[in-house]
Amino acid sequence: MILVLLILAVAFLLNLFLPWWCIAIPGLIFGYLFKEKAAISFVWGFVALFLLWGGQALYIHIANDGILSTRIAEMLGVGSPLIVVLITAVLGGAVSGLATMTGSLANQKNAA
Amino acid sequence: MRFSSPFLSAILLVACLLVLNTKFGSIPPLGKFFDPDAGFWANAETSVPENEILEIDGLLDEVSVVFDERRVPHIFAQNDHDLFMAQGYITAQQRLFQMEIQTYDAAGRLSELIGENSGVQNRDLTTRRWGMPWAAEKKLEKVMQDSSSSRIVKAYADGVNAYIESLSPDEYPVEYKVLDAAPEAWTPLKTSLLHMNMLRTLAGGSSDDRTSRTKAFLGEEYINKFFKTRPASVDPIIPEDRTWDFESIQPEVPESDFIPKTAERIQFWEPDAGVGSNNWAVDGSKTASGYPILAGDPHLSLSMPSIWMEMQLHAPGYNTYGVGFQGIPGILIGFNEKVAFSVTNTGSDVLDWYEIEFKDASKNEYWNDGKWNSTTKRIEEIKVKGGETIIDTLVFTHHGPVMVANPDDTTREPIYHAMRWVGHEPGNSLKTFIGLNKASNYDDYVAALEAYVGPAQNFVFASTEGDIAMWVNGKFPNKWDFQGQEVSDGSDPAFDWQGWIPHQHNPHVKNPPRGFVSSANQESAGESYPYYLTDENAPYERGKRINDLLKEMKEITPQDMMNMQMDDYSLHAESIVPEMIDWVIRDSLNFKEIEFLSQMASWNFEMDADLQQPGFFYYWFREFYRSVFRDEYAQVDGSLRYPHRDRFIEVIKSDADFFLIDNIETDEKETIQDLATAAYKHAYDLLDTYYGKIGEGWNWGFVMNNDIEHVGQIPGFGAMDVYTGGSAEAINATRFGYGPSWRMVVELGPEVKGWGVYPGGISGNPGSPNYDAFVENWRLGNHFELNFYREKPEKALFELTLQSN
Repeated sequence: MILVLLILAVAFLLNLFLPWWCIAIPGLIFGYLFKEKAAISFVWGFVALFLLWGGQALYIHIANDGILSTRIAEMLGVGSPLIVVLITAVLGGAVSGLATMTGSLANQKNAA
Repeated sequence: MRFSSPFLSAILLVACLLVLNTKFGSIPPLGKFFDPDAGFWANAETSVPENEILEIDGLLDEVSVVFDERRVPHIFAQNDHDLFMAQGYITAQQRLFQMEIQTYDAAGRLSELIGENSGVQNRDLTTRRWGMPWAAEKKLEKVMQDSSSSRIVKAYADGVNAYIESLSPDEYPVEYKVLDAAPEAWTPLKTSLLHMNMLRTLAGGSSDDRTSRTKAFLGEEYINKFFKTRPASVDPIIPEDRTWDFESIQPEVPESDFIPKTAERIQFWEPDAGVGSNNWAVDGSKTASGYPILAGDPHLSLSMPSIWMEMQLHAPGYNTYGVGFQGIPGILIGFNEKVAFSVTNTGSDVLDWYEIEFKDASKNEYWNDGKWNSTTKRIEEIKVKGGETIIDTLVFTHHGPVMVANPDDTTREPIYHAMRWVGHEPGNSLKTFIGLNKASNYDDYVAALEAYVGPAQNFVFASTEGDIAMWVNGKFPNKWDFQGQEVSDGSDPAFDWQGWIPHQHNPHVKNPPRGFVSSANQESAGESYPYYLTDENAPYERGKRINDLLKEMKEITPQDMMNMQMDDYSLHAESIVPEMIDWVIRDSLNFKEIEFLSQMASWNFEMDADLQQPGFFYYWFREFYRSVFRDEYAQVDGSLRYPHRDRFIEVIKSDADFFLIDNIETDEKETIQDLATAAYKHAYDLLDTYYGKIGEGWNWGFVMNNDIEHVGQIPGFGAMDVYTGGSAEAINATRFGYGPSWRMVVELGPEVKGWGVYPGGISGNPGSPNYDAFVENWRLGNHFELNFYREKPEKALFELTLQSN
């Protein structure tokens, strides 16, 4: 759980200044440090960015009355603006999950 | 290899990052695009903008930009330089993507932005071959020769660039994120390119080649009947009773029996069929206030964001409100404290094609005036995003750029046509519009018009002094009757344009006795006007309807004029529906079809959204018209010229045995009754298939399928199915995504007042509630009262202060 919060917080801060791919960095670092099993690392890493990007997207979606997310949904042909929010969450989650797993595996390799 | 190998996991991660950072086809790089901090989410507006102080290098003084409750920007500057610099800055702030895509299009550079796509590539090639960038450069030279114009375009460009430089990638308009592109620096050349775009849209029509083919196939009498005869109902822009007190200069008609090699197809630009406009002004004798009222509504292909943006420009000696094109300084349609002005397009044949013979395949020499003459050449490079650059060589004769007239013809040698176009003439239209912005009386208006080259427009004018006027204005070649109606002989200099109609001979009228002036793209002047302008004008219906109404109206108020802009009455329907009903053979109809026929008979000819007859009439007449020509016209490879509906109706009503009525593909001899009946059944089936059983689904508001698409055709970014009345032939010319792109009414007087509305908003950001904020008012014809400030107001929605470091 602490892993989730750390990844989430650091990814949030980095993403303010750096391009989108910086969200992989906290996963790599904290995955390595926490040395959880690969699958568990993936899940925590995924959850962290799913919550961060999903939460940010949901906030903007609501504050914007869904104006832009509805247009993007139509552009992508996905039907509902909430699916656009969901895609955002899953994309962030997938990247972070992979990064966290990679970090943890790197450390396990060292240990072995 | 085990799945939990760190190596494999790392590769997977890197691959994932790369894939999500790459654009595939039209799919944006997904990671970048969905990033809540810098992707499209960053463009979602979550609060009204706030007051801000912005540092902008190059301003001479402080500028205030007040945004009113509809977010219309009102720029208050202390000198002209700052005024136009701020206009550039604010326009870019609201509409940067639109500005850029229009100039990429006009420069034949869309491939650079969009990448490999054959449709886009062809469009770019055609744009280059039309000499658009070449002529834009010539135009810019002319603008730069005028010190005041050059200062304006430079200040404007500096303003746009100040805005672009202030942007970080997360602040780019959302369209750049969709295309994975970045804005580039603005230059005065781009302003010229936009001007070329106007010329192409409004003065880029020609039917020379089609007329030549039609004459070859159907004979000279047919041409005379349809393309050399004015419909009797025409009520020209400059009234018939206007007399001309000048000695006209008559061009020499060549003695020649030249017949062009009938070309299969020519790469002419197909101008949008929906281009046309209304404007009118009434003088004080007809208004409740005793001062003139002016109205204008330019019809164009409707787009999101709107092609127009409202703005007020205020500086010492300058106070003008209205709408302009994004990328062109000043106001194009609007008013100031003393005068008002608006434009409609002039039907004038200012584009002709000349058949060219080259000495050999090098195209270095062409035959003219009994000798070989040198051509000139220009290399065009079309860069393609992610692809190879395309090189194209343009060849010019003294007429203009040369194109292959039969590109798809494999059986014959290429046939070459050179283009002579007023769009290639150097000119400075900026001077005209800035002049109108600052005009305070009739003489200023005429002086401003003199510099104008094209696209030719009918400039309506009204002043607080009480004058109203209409000038059919532009640079017109002085042609013999019907010169350039067909493809011309490029080897004979006698076919060249021999000069220009002097400006003071352009059709115009000031304060006519009837108390009003008007234009709706119909014939420019009465038969007595001593020059030839064109064989192609809009059908008479809109113009006549406007004049019929204005003749009867008295004690006119601005509200009357606004209502008139929403008039849906169809003179076109009135002129043919009773006959078509008579022609229908009732025995051939089923019960439902007969029932609907009585509904058609009771129709009031209003093209209203809630009625079912307009949509039925639209498809019924369309099929009837097509069925007359379809069979014969299909006999010829390549397109032939179709008559306008008004002349067609005139002919068909007077000649029931018109020779094209018979369907040559059947053994029987069809009558006009047969065609009207078959078309009736066709229309019924069509509506039944696409709009369901007869009922509300047949309402014209649905059937006209009025979609306002995004300027870059991005799905989801338009305003779809905008339910409204109107028709091409009605004053409210809305239909199928075309129509009044801005409706304006101005009451002159000690305190000039304006009303207006367009379908769109100020903001070009699809993530802003303001993006489509005016669409509903536009749909209902509820004009906004415009905030025309005499000085900077106390109250504002928000205010930007621009100042130099």
